[in-house]
Parts: sequence; C-alpha cells; structure tokens
Amino acid sequence: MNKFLTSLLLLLFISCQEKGEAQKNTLWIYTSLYKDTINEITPALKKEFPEVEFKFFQAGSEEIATKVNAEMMSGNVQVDVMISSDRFWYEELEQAGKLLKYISPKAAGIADSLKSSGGFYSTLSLPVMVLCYNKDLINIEMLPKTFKDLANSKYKNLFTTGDPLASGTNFTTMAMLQHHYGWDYFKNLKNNNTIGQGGNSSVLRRIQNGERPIGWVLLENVLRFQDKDKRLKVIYPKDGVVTNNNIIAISKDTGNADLAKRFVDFMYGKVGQQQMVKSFMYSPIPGFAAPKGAPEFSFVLKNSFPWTREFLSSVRDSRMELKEKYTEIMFQ
Amino acid sequence: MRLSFRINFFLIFICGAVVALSFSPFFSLFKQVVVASNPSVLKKVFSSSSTILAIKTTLIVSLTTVLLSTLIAIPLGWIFSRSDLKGRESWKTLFSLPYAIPPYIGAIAWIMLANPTNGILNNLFGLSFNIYTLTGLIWVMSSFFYTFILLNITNLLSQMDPSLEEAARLSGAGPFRVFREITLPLIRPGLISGMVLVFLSSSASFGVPALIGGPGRIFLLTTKIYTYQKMGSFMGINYASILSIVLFFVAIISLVINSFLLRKNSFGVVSGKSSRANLFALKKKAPLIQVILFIGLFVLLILPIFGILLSALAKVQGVVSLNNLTFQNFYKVFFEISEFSVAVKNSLMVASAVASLSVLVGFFVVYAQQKTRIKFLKMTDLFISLPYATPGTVLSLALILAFSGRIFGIISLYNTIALIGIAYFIKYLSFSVRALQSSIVQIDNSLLEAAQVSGAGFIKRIFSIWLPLLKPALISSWFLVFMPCVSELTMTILLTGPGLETLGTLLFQLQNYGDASGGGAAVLGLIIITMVLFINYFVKFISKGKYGL
Repeated sequence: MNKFLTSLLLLLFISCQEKGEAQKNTLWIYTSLYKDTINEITPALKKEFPEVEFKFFQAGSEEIATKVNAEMMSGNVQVDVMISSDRFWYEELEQAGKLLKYISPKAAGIADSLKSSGGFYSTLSLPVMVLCYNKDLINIEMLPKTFKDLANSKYKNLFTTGDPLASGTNFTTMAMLQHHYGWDYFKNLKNNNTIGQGGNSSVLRRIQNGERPIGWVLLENVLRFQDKDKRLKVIYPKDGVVTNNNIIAISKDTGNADLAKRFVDFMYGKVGQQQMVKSFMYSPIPGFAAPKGAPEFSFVLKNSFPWTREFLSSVRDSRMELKEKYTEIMFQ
Repeated sequence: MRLSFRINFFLIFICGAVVALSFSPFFSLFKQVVVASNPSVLKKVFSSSSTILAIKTTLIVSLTTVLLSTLIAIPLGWIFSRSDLKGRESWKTLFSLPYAIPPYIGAIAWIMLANPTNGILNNLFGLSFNIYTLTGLIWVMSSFFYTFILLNITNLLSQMDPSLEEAARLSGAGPFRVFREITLPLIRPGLISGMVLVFLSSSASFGVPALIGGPGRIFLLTTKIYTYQKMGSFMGINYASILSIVLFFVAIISLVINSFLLRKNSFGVVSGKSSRANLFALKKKAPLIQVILFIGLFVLLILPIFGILLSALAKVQGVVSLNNLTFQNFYKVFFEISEFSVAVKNSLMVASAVASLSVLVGFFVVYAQQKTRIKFLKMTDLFISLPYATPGTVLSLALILAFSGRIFGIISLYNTIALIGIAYFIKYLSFSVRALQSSIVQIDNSLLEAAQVSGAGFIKRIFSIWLPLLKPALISSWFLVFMPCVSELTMTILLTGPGLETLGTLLFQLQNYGDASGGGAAVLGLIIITMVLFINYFVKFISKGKYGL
C-alpha cells in the first residue's frame, strides 16, 4: 500500500511536470492585453523571433499585480516583461527598485507625460474611458453630457461602472474623478444605486441587457461591438474622457534583458503599434491612425482629464486609502 | 482497536505529510507577513469599524445559509431514502445536481432572473424580486450549498441499519417521532459535518458575494480581504493575509464544535447485519409530494439553467426574442477558441487525479483518526480544514510564496500544473475527509474485530470490510472533490500560466474579455454541467445504478 501511494504521488508530480528548466530563449510576458490581441500578434512575433518561445500569462491588471508582487516577495521572479494598465503600480515598482531602466528608442517620440520620469517604463497604448448607453432603453433628452451629470438623482438605477478594486482602468477613472470632484461625487453615485462590479465587459453586458442602460466603459470594448450591437452608443463626456495608460516595463530580475528589450522595441515598432490600433486603442506614437470608429487622437487629448506629475505621485502614495475609502462609501 | 506498529507508523506518516502539505503555504505566509508587520498594523486592521462590520455580516450570512440549507436538505434526504416515492433515485440525482454547477455561474443566472431592474422573472410575472439583498445572497448560496448536506446524509441514510427505525415504528411511534428520536440522532455526524462544511464554504466564498454583494452593498470579510489584496501593493497583501487569520479562527472554532458534538455520542450503526429498509408508504400524499418536489426542482435547478441557456443562445445579451437565438456561441467555443481542448484536458486530468488522491488519503486520515488510539492524529482534521476556510486568492498567494523556490534544488512547481493540483488537493481534501468521516464513524468496531480475530491483516481488512462497506461513500466523496475542481476559478487564476488553461480560467476569460456576444461564458458553464452529468451517468451505468450522485 505504501509503495502504491508513493508511486501514485510520484506519478502525479512527474506527469504534471512540464519542462521545468527555464530555457535561455524563453520570455515570460504577463499582460492584461486581450487574448485575441495576443493571438493576432503571435505570427509576427514568431517571424521576428524564430528562436524564442514566448510565454504569455494573460489576466486582469490587478491579477497581474498580485502575481508579480507575490513573485517578488518570494524572491523568485519569473516574469520578464509586464504590460498592464495600472500605471500607479508601475510607479510603486519603480520606487521600490524592481524595474529595469529602459525606454525603447522607438518610443522616443511619445509625450513625456506618458513615460516614467526616471525612464523605467513607458506607455504602450492608450485605452480611453468614455460613457456608453443603450439607445433602445433611454430617451435622448435623458442622456448625460458629463461624468459629473451622473451624480444627479435623475440617474437613479440607470448607471453602472466597473469595480475599481478589480480593474486597473476603472481604478484610474475612479481616482481621476475623485481628484476632480471629491468623495461627494461617489456618495451620490452610491445613492443612485450605481452598480460598480466586475471589469469593463461586465459593465457593457449590463448596458446591453438593460440592467443599467448607461455606464462608464472603455471605448475599445464598445468599438468591438460596433458592427454586432447597434444599440450601443458612445458619449464623449464634456468634462473630459479619462485616458488610461497601458504600460510596458521590464522586470529588474529578468535573466534575459537583451531579449526583453528587443521585445519592447518590437511592440513599439510598426507591427506592434498597428496591432494596438487594431485592438481599438490609441498609439502614443504620433502618426498612427485612430482606431476604427474612434475620433482622432487630438480630439481625445484635447478633451481629456490632464495627467499631472502631482496627480500621479499623490495617487501612487494614497492608492490604498483611495480604494479603502471607495469601499467604505460603496458598501457601508 | 489495536494495530501493529508498522501500520500505526504508516498512518502517522500519512497524516503528518498531509498536515505538512496543508500548512506549508500558511507557514510561508505567516513568516512573510505576521512576523514582518508590527503590532500597530494588526491593531489598525482589527480595530477598524469596517472589519467589525464585515465579521458581523459574514457570521449572519453564513449561519443563515447553514440554517436554510439544512431546512432544504433534511426533508429531501428523508424522502429520497426512507419513503416509497416513485422515482426517488432520479429525484435524488436531480436534486444533487446543483452541486455540479459552479455557484459563480449560478449567481450570474440568478442576477439575470431576479435583478430588480429587469430580472426576467420580474418582467414576465410582474413580481418584484430583488436578488441584491441579504436574503437574495443567502438564497443563492443556500440553493447550492444545501447539496453538501444532502449528499452527506443520503449516504448515511442508505447505509444505516433500518432495524432500529423499524423497531420504533413497530412500537407504535409515528413517522415524525421515528425521525426525531431515531433517525435524526443517527445521521447527526453527517448532518453536523455537512453543516460545518456549508458554514466554512459560505464564510470563505467570494464569487457569489462579489456578484451579488457589490450591487447589494453587502460587506463581507472576503470582500474586505479582496479589497486589500487588490490594492496591488505589498502592504495590501500583508493586510489581506492578516485578515484571513480571522477566517482561520472561524474555521478552528467551528471544527472544535464539530468534533465536540461528534464525540458526545457516536454510534456504530452499520453492523453488517443489515436488512432491506422498510420504506415508509406515502400513500395518498405521494402525488402532492411529487408536485412539491417538482416545484422545488424547478426553482433550484431548472430556472437557473434556463437562465444560463438563454444567455448561451443569445446573439446579443439582454434581448429575449426568437430571432436573437443562435448557436454561434457554441460554435465559437468549440471551434474557434484554441484553448478549449487544452482547458478540457487540463481540467479533467487535474480534477480526476486530485479526486482520486483525496479519496485515498482521506480514507487513511479518517481511519487514523477514528480507529486508532493515537490521540494527536485527531488534530489532522483541523489542519486540513484550514485551507478550505481560507479564501482562494489568499491561499494561492501563499502557495506561490511556498512553492516558487526549487524543491530539493531540482524542480520548481511554480507555473506548472502540479501546483494547481496541489492547490486543489489541499483545498478540497477536507471534502473527502468529511464525507468519509460520517460513514466511517458508523461502522461498528465489532466487524473489524471479528475480521482481526479471524486472522485478517490490515490490507485484507481494507479489501474485505472497508471497501465493500464504504464504496458508496468513497465514490460520492470522489465526486465531491472532482466537481469543484473541474471548474475551480479563484485559485487557478493566479496559479495558471501559459498552456495551463483550465475550464475555470477560460470561463473567466470569456466572462471578462472581448467576447462577441457575451454568451461564451454561459456556453462553457453549460458544457461543464453537461460534462459532469455525463460522467455521473457513466458511473451510474457501469455500476448498474449503484453509484454516482
């Protein structure tokens, strides 16, 4: 019996053991880019890097943060390159000395506000947070013009957002609006029975099925549906859209710095950036077209909440308090 | 019972190994977190008003869920095993099925059905259900968790020596009195361990509270832990881990109560002198009970599955009309998502390996606890239940900390499917232990002593007494572990890596990311349910209806 058990255990381990040894030419990329984006770019990657095996771990920004933090706590870091949308987390990593200093020469043209001041990370693409509504379920004259409008009690039971605790872009939006409108704004949202749950896809689903006909949601999520669900319409809020930064950075503990840098360069190259646009995000590099169905980037930039260094550092340092305060308002 | 030194050693070894494995993640976590943080942090976490509110609400929700689940499970269990109801075997299977549905999927279905704005039930029948309430949350949890108790007690009831009940009945006791005075005390071990399981499950569950508690503003301990963990900062991880200690204590207290109640009076009721049970004749009440059962089943199973089906067949979500029906979601999942086959393979492989191992190890653990005189082995129970009482996200985090290094300098389990397997094993081992516990308690020592006196060795006793008597319990405990593993999500999401997709992570992908109609997740939910059904019926078929749910 004893032998039987031991061999069973061994069998379990052996059969499950994939190639345990990390190969020199393997690059681990943790990303919150959507899976189809990864799938679409893979052939080009294979062509450019025939000798390299790319290992993509795909999850939400906050999952990636948790996984990478745990790896860093354990002292055994597997990740080489990270791409995700919680810029404040990268600020914290930079401060903690966990990132490799690198800005791709191909990213030279992007605005300074889209890079780390120390040169540790840069913006790969820009998802944009807008308002969206289901035109079958709400009257034209009821439509909000700004984010701020939604605090009005006439939007009771009509509005939904994502969960700032679960989604990086939703957290950024929450932080930005809190910065400008204070906590009263969120108290009013709460009084309006605003549902703030899940990621952007959950928000869109609630708009589609009418549980809440208006929501804040990423433009890319709406544009993916532009041919399939004609009921969905976008509002570019007059007080500003919230531009999010999809950040790319290299872990300091990468054993493969050269390869990681080449990968970052590739992502800033023509193929990489065109894929970002194809996935309905804006490219930070001037000269790339806007995503299909989206307005010009200049329009978005002109009408967006500003990213200041002061905002960035204050949110980086108060991230925990912000999330806690938000939870307190929404739940208690 | 006296056992040889070798066997005792073997049992101690098994229990020791299991305890070490279950405790290893917490050890790393504590080392990392508790030791590193100062008392002021502890004070801050535990004295905040939101923590106290969270603990209070968690207790209310969990205890009420236990109560409601018990109220649903006991009458069902009795009808399925003690009455002459027609088709009670099929009824039993059907009522056990909610166990196979991931509660997360169930919550999505219930939100579709009964949200206050445009829930289908509210729209169709002019009702005003609101799922986003404390009652709604407790209802959704109970409508899945009652199966824990049901499966536990139907097993016991079908194994129990019916002569005791017969004796009571012959002496003139009515059915309710027989139930209250004979049956209930006899199934108490199973009932209590089922209730403890429900309590632990509801206090540590996150999926359902996240979906319903968010809009309903219901603040639970797991919500708070999640909040901390999702701060994305190192500090947040510390706070989350500190707070999950509360759940450890909840677990420890409930398990101590459990073992105290079990010790007070345990009977050996399966004595080998079994006869067929005399079933209680329902007579004229039979049609009425059939109708009640149908209504119950409709509410517990058919309605939510209908909701999932509607979502799976929808071209765009939220439009209920004939020309919105399509099979393209199915087509997409089967043929266009390349990870689908990998996910099915991974999930089936890991879940069946883990289930088999859990049953095997679980048997020896319970054996060691109940049939040896080694007192400290009773503690095993406590340790293996700790992972279950810990929220999945905290557990997987702890596992990353514990296993990211190399074991003996050779292999690293991190980012392999083995670590996912270990996570499932330590989380769900207590399921098999609990299911076996209640059955093993009932087996009278006289049988074993008789065998021993006749010269049967340990292994012979296992094959000639334990296996035949425990077969139903072994098989159902296999299912108890297999099913949650097949669709596990919360732990897997952090432990998964390239090529390690499982049905749970794929479901999460489809639910959360650019999925054209939003029906993909529902399709996958249906596939999981169908798969489990198929396996269940396959087992029933090859065992000629004896085993399976």
